[in-house]
Amino acid sequence: MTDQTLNQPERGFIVACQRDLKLAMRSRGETLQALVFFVIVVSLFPIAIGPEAVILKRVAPGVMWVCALLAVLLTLPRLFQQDYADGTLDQLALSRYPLPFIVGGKMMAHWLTTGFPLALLAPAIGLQYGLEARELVVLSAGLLLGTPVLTMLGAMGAALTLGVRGGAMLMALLVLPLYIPVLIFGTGAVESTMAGLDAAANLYLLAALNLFGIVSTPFAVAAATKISLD
Amino acid sequence: MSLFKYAAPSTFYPLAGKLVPWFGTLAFLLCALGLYLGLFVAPEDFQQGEVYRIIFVHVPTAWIAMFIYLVMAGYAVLSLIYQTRLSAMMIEALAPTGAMFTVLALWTGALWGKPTWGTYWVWDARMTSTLILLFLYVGYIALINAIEDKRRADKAGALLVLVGSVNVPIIYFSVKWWNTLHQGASISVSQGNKMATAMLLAMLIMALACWMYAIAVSLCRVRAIILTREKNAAWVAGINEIKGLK
Amino acid sequence: MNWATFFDMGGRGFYVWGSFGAFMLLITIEIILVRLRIHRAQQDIRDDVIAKQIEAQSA
Repeated sequence: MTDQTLNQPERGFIVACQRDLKLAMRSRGETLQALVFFVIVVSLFPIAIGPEAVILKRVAPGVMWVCALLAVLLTLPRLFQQDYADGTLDQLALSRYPLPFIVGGKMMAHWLTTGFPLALLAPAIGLQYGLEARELVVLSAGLLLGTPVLTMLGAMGAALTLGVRGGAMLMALLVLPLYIPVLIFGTGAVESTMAGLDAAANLYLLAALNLFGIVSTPFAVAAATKISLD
Repeated sequence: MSLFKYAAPSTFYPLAGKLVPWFGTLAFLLCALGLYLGLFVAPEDFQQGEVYRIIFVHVPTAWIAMFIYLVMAGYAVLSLIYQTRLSAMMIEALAPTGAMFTVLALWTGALWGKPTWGTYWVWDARMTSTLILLFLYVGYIALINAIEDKRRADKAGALLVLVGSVNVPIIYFSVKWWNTLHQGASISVSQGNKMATAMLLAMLIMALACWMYAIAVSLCRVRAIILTREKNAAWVAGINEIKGLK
Repeated sequence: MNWATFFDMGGRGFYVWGSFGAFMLLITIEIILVRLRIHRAQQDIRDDVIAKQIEAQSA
């Protein structure tokens, strides 16, 4: 590695992202668990409310989104917990790379291992609910645009509750209210497609949230991490 | 900067002590006047009848519930930029009062909804946003109570309030969007169109009373917080309540 | 003005007084809790001061 590459702050993003992806690959089972959780919970609903096709189709967008949201929520402690416990996070905070880029890389890796596979998997599960091709595409597109926001806001909660007793529950409490806009636009996109309307408005709003998150949350999460490390 | 002098807990404690009775008395008088105007002077509403009088507690509590969160966000900025401990203590002191007003707004909203709309709860945009506001208050209180290191709790709490306040407009907009998508124009709370002057006046006075009350009670609470935190500071032994012992 | 009709509120007394009552109740509770909190904080410090005085005398 030459000095020149070290001076580029965006390297921090890539390094952190690669490192977390490598760790995720090493514990593949854990990464898969979130997806299995998603599949199981989505399959519980027809059992609980009955297999009537009309009702299932009506609740499908909401069920899929809430389950995706919970699946992401369950994986959030993984984002910083391990690195916090073994002191890696302290090292990362003191490294030559700016912290916002590092946490950005970690969030990217987290999304690539949770939200992204969820978005690809969701259409297959959506078939259980009798969704049609167009609706499945919109569902998937919505998840692709929306799950990064779930990761970014979740990283905020995860960073604030690092090392706090009962942190996972507390994190859910902090993060879930902030997830509401994503839930609304995500389900709205699928529902408007089902009603024969254009889903574009909802998807644009999700994209806007996404962009806003990308420019703002790395700094907020870095600040939260610093507070927790002090 | 003379204002920064009062940012020190040791100077703010006696100042707050002097201010509390003033704001408290003002709140009491305004509340008495507001209730008198609202219950006795304001005429009956020609559409809703007497039950509309709930407006005199519902709207002021809803306003103050939102306003307190804004004030907390203001203190959060001060706390994060200037690192003043007092700002963080003010956030902590305001939160329970804000949560209480949010609960009152929801409760009175439900009691108003039953006779006018037929159900205690409707998922209209304002009710839903107020519920989410309550979640934000509860989240903040839970966070600062869970973190044992007070300095970290202060900073983490301030950051959370700041993030929350950035999200509040987004949440409000999205809930409104969701509401129009799902309910169309079924319910509209059109109280603003032909309001008698006495009604408006009573509502504003009640809002002012709630505001003064919030100031009084949060100043009182911040004094308790200051005392608990600064227990071992030298100045504490010199305050009036303690000096009598020597 | 008739007090019975006043409390009846056109048959909707439960809702109106339920609202105003909750308002008064919660505010009263909060005032009591805050006063308790500040008294307890002051008492804590007084206890500390007394403990120190006793310590100083016995030393």
